Amino acid sequence: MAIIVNIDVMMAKRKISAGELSDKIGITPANLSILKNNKAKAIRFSTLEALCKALECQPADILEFVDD
Amino acid sequence: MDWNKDKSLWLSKICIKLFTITMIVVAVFAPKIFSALIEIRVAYLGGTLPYFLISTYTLCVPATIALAGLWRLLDNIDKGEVFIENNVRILRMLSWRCIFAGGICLASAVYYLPFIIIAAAAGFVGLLLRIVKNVFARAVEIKQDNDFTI
Repeated sequence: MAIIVNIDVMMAKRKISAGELSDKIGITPANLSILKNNKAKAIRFSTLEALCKALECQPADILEFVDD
Repeated sequence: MDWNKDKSLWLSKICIKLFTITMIVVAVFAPKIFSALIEIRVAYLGGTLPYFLISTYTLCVPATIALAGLWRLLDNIDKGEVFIENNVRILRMLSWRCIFAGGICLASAVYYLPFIIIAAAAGFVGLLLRIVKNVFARAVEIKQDNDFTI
C-alpha cells in the first residue's frame, strides 16, 4: 500500500524542467528530487497547491494510490 | 555570568576529562588505595585485596568505553547533530555499560557489601539512559518525518 508521486509524468506533459518547477513552487531542487523519487513521507497542502498551480493539474494527477 | 550552550558543552567535556584522569589515577594507585582501606578494616576485609583489584580493573573496561561514548556524544551535539541514529546507538551502549558495571558491583558485594549501593546506582543510571535512548529514538523518527515532509 503506497502513495506514488507522479510529478515527473506531469512535468514531461507540461515540458517543464526540475529547476524551473522548483523555482515556481518555491522549494529547493533537493526537496523536489525527494518528491520525484517517492522518498517523501508527507506533502504539505501548500506544496500540493503550488504544484497543482504550476503544473495546471489536479492533486489526483500528481498523487496515485497503489495497493501492494 | 553569561551562560550558554557552548559553555555547558565545554563544562561537560571538562568533566569527562576529570573523570578519565580520576579513573586512571584510581587504576594506577588501586593496590595502595585498597591496601590502606583493608588495613583500616582488617577484621572484615583481610585477604580481599585481589578481589578489590579484580573488581576495579574489570570496572575500568566499561568505564573507559562509556567515557569514550560520552565524548563522541558531546562531539556530535557540538557539531549540531543531535537527533541522529549514531547518538541513539551511543546512548544504548552507555545504558548497557552502566548495567554491566552494576552487575560487576553486585558480584563484588559478595566480599564487600557497600558495593551493592554502587550496583543499585549504576543500574538506575542504566535505566535512565535507556529511557533517554528511547526518547532519542522517537525524536530521530519525528525528525526524519519532518525532514521528508515537503
